[in-house]
Amino acid sequence: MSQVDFKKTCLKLTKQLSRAFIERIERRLGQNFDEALEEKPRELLISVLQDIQLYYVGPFEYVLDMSEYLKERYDISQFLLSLSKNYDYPVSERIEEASRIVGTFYEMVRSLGFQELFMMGSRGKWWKDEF
Amino acid sequence: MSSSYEIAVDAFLNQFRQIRTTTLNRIWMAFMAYSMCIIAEAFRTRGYTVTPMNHKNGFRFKCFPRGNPNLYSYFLVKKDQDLYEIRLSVDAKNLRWNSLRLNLDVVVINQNSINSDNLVDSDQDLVSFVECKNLRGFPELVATFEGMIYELQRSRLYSNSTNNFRIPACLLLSQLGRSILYMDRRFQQRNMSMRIFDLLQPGNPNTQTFIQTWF
Repeated sequence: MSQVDFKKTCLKLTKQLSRAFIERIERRLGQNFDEALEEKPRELLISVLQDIQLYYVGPFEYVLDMSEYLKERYDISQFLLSLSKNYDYPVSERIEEASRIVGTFYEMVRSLGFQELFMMGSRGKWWKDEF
Repeated sequence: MSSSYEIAVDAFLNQFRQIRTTTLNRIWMAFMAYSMCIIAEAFRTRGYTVTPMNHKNGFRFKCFPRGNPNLYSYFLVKKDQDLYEIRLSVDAKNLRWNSLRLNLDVVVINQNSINSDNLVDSDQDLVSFVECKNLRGFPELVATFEGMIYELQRSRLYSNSTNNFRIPACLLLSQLGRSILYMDRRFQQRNMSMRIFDLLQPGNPNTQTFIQTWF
């Protein structure tokens, strides 16, 4: 595996993220982003990945999990999130998109050498006691 | 030439750029639906029969507060004399004490107990309820939850209240807050009928812990 440039990777990822996202990480680390980038780029990158996982990847993981659960447990292949009286969001139609987002995220985490820090991707089935 | 990790970062960013905020906001509601499913599984683990209801055209999770709950899907759970419904986004009010009317994320209620005003009497028919927050927990959130319990079933807050409310009310969080475990320990030490669980995420053993230890 080639040496990971934590600083460069941090900058590449955060370029896509909002100021509010960065500020949340700064509050948690108790340090300014630029300072953290210089002093502890590895920890900063882990924090960035954790928040990407929580705020962007996590929801798609819930969708994948629910989809498998309903199918395997009750043989239900369609499910919808009713968001208002007149609007149902057909989640089961987004499964492929969810798989791509979750898959590429964990591939990235693995390639950066952080797989042990991100248990979420292990995809144990709670309805089958697979832990 | 890019190294393997750079290729992987680019591949993720290509997907990431396509996520639209509207999609994300909608998909986040899946946390409520996920919570409903792990609650159903907690009942199954204790020997209840769980049957999905109202799902002819797909399972419709009610993820908004208004509307008639009977138009949406839910789980029916049964064991011996216990016959409950697990539903999403249902209004409850303590009719004896004329409390506030509150919309609850997930409820476990006696079968057929939603009245014509789409309301459940928390004094008579609310077996348990769960609030789901897909964020890092913080003390004010727990205080809000305690306030809801105070309105609907205040004796859950008394010491040894699990004797009367055997299924604790719950706050489910997708992420850990520093004070949360301390607060949950305090509730358990006093044997209060309320619990807090965190890190309820796919693949995380905490989900299994919830299913095994909720009640």
